[in-house]
Amino acid sequence: MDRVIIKTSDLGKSFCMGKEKIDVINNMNLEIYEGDFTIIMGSSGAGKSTLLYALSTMDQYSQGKVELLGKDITSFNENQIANIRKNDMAFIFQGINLLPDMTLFENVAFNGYSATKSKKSVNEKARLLLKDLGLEKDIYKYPSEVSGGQKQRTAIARALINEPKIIFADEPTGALNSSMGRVVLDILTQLNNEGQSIVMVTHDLKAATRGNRILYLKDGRIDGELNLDKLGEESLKEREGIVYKFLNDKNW
Amino acid sequence: MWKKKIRTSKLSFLLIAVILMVTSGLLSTSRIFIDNINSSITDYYGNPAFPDVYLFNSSDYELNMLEDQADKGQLIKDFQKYKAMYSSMNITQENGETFNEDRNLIISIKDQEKLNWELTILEGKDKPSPEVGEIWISKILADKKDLKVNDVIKIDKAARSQFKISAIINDSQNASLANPAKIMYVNEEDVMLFDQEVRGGYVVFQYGSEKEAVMNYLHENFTSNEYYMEKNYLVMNQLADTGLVSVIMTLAGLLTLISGIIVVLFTLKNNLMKEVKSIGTYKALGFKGSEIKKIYSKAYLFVGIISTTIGVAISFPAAYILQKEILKYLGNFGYNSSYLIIGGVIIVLFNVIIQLFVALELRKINKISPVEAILQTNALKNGKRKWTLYKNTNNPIALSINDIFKNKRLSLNVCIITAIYMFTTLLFINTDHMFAVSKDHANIWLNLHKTTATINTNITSPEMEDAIVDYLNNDNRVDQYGYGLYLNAGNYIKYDSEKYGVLDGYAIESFSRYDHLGFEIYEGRLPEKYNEINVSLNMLRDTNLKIGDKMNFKIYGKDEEFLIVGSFGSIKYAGRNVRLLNEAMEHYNLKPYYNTIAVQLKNQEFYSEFKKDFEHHFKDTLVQANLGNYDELLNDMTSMVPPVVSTITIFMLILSALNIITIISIIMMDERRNLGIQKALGFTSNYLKVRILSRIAILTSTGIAIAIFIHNWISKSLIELVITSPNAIIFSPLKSSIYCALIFSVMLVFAFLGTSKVARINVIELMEE
Ligand SMILES: Nc1ncnc2c1ncn2[C@@H]1O[C@H](COP(=O)(O)OP(=O)(O)O)[C@@H](O)[C@H]1O
Ligand SMILES: [Mg+2]
Repeated sequence: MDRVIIKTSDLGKSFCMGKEKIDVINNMNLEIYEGDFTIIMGSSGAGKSTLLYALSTMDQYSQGKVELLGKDITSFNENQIANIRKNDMAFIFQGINLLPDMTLFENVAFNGYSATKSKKSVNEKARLLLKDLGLEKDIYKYPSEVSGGQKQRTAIARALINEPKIIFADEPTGALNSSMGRVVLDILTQLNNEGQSIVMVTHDLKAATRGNRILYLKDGRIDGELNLDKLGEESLKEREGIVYKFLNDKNW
Repeated sequence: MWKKKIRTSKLSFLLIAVILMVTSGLLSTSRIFIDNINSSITDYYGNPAFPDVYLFNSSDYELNMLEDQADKGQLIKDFQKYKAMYSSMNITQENGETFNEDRNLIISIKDQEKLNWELTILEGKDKPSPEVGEIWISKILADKKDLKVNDVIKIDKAARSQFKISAIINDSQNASLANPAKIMYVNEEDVMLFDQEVRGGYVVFQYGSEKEAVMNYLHENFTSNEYYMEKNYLVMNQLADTGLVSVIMTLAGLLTLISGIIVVLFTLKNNLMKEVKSIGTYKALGFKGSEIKKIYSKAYLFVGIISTTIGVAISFPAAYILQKEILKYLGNFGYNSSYLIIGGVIIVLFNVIIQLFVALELRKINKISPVEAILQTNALKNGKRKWTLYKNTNNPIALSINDIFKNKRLSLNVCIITAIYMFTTLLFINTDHMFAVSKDHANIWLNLHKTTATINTNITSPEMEDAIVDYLNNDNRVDQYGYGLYLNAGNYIKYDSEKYGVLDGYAIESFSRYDHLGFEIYEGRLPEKYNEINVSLNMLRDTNLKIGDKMNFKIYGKDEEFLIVGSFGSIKYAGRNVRLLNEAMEHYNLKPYYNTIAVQLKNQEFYSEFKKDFEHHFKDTLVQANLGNYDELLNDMTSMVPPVVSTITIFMLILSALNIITIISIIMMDERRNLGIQKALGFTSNYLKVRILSRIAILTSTGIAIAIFIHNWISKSLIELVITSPNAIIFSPLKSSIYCALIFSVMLVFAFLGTSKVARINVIELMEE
């Protein structure tokens, strides 16, 4: 059995719309395992982002608890949360979220400096990551000077600089065109193959195919789960068929 | 459309509205005030009935001569004569406290309606004259001595008779704090109560011919004019009272105008830069440049007119109250058309400037294409490398310094705005200090001596002069002494207006010596010989003379030459004063009555004994501690300034507080998204706060440093432009430092409160934008 890295108990999240209370997540008990490429799917407005934010410390939840890497984050204070965000995990957003007044290189390296690491090693690592992600030529450009795909790749490099135990990604290809999206997904797939745990939200079939565990979210619950092997040499087309069938059963 | 614009950027518009309101309000207050003060005074004394000369004479013979001259109607006209008393008197209040005033002039009148000068009853019953046993006193005196109607006072020179105060009045003769004599009015029948020796006649008249001819006539024929006042001196005293306040208001108005315009334009520019995106959207929607311009012009016109109108409207009562307070001893001056004219000009001026600037800025923005505008997030120009001082770091303080350079325009704004307000407030705080300590420097302000005792007397004969000199030489409590004539030596020695140009007024003073008596010298040295003089800085400026030059005076109609050996500062008589030695009086055979003796005792403890002995030995003399009445004179002249200065300082502080709040909110708005990103990356709120706070701390301290630099550099010269006694301009480095430290802390507290938002920034909201 794989090691559990995220575990929720009776997790619930509701929003108040005026007088009305909307439950977006209901009594959810969920486990996510180390080394998995976990996909959270569902129709638009199903609560995918809400769930991911709750799992990743990005937002508070209304009830229940979340254990992240064995720690109950429910009662964590701001500093403990900041600590987890910095050292144990990374979050890749759909939108562009680089700091506009720093170069791509600075955006990546800046996140890595700490008291325990030498600046030189961080700089080297940042350069290497950017190179691996094909941004060698652009590292001294500013975010406003590069394309969306390059920005998102920079965001991935920034996410990797602190060697996170988990990477969360909320529709990382949502703002990209399909070829740029494919590059980003390839990178994530390769990272996962190297052992990186990833939890990714998507409503895109092709993107979902990359995962080895697909959770389908509906009415605030997990309404089904599809376990696959890790993506190997087999054709993506075939795998897409399986995922499509799974989703079709869910009236996706 | 423009209304929607205002609604959607409420904060920006509100801010500019408040700044506009305060700035236009302050400017309009100062403008209206200055305009009205001067015109009120000149209008008031412009009354054609007012006498040109007011004098008290104790010789019946001379009085009759003057009356005969008036009957001839050539030299003088509109002659009025009243029985009166003039002397230094001990007047006691019920509580036994003496007035300790200078000389008092008590005039008997029959019908106040028939007086050629203006007398208004403020409190008490309106009667033609005081009844027997009653006395009317001026509001100045009532205020200073806390006297009320129905209080009873006792006058020693009237055989200790009691008088009941039956009215408190404003009096055109006695409307100025700078007027040395305190004038009171009694019933004609009570004149006989007073000692024979203090009784005499009080006459007023107008020039029937050239002033010069009248003067010559008076000087040649009269030796007993103990009290002498001219209308232009009354006007000048009045202007001296209000002059300092006017000067401060002028300065405030000027600085507000400059700083106000700079700040308004900066804020406007910031507001418009934020509109780049909206303008891009309008363009994409097919709006023409001129249509877009109209939206903004109308929005700013609306906000500008509303806020400047409110500011100007507030300034009306403010200026009115100030004017009423300052002129309370002169009369009642109400609102008039100048209020509306000045207010209107200010409203138009401000709005024209704003409209021009909006048009100018929009033209720049208009050149940007819609796509550029919409895509422009943090206004980064393509290909422009940003200079970073600290590389390879995420230390918040180092990054805050990078932020300063990366946001150059904002940083510059913060520095300049802080510097402007700090400089202005530093200037006013130090001006306030200068007035607060002025009483210790009355000798510098007013060109006076500074000794342990001052004796008021009239040295009416050479015998008396010898007796006093003898007495002081033989009294071993006396260290140094000198005696002479303040203010009116000019009656004997005349400034040559043909040669040097006409002056409003001037004073020539004569003293037996100037050394060791605390007389201040600015440059050069004190006069030592009969033909040496010191000339005040203002008079040197007016006459284009300098130390080492010769200056001519008219004595008995003849030109006499004096050598200027030194200069000094003074605000007395519009800063136009000349010092010469009694030796000159002797040399030219002039025989003035010296009226002031400055005595430096070896020990201050000797004072009471000395006073008792001297007053006992010489009749009709008054010994006072230190500068005596002159201390009070300066205090009276300057007392109105601190409240005005404090009020202005408070206004300035409100403005600077507003600006700090703006700056912080601008930074917070600019940084919101970036703060969210950094939080998602695991930077703590405290880290982010430190980064913002240290940026604000660095910028404000730079601004303060610039302000201190400018202050040290130009404040003194700025005040010297209006206050003509440079050595009296004394600043307080201590107060300045405390103030700067205080403002710095307050700014940080504000900034700290502003950054408390950081903790509440929700990462998610920002990411989804
Ligand atoms: N801040 C919020 N306030 C109120 N309702 C919200 C808020 N955020 C999300 N919701 C609601 O929660 C539901 C789930 O949203 P979300 O998690 O963003 O959906 P998904 O990511 O699956 O498209 C939606 O119905 C949305 O309207
Ligand atoms: Mg979503």
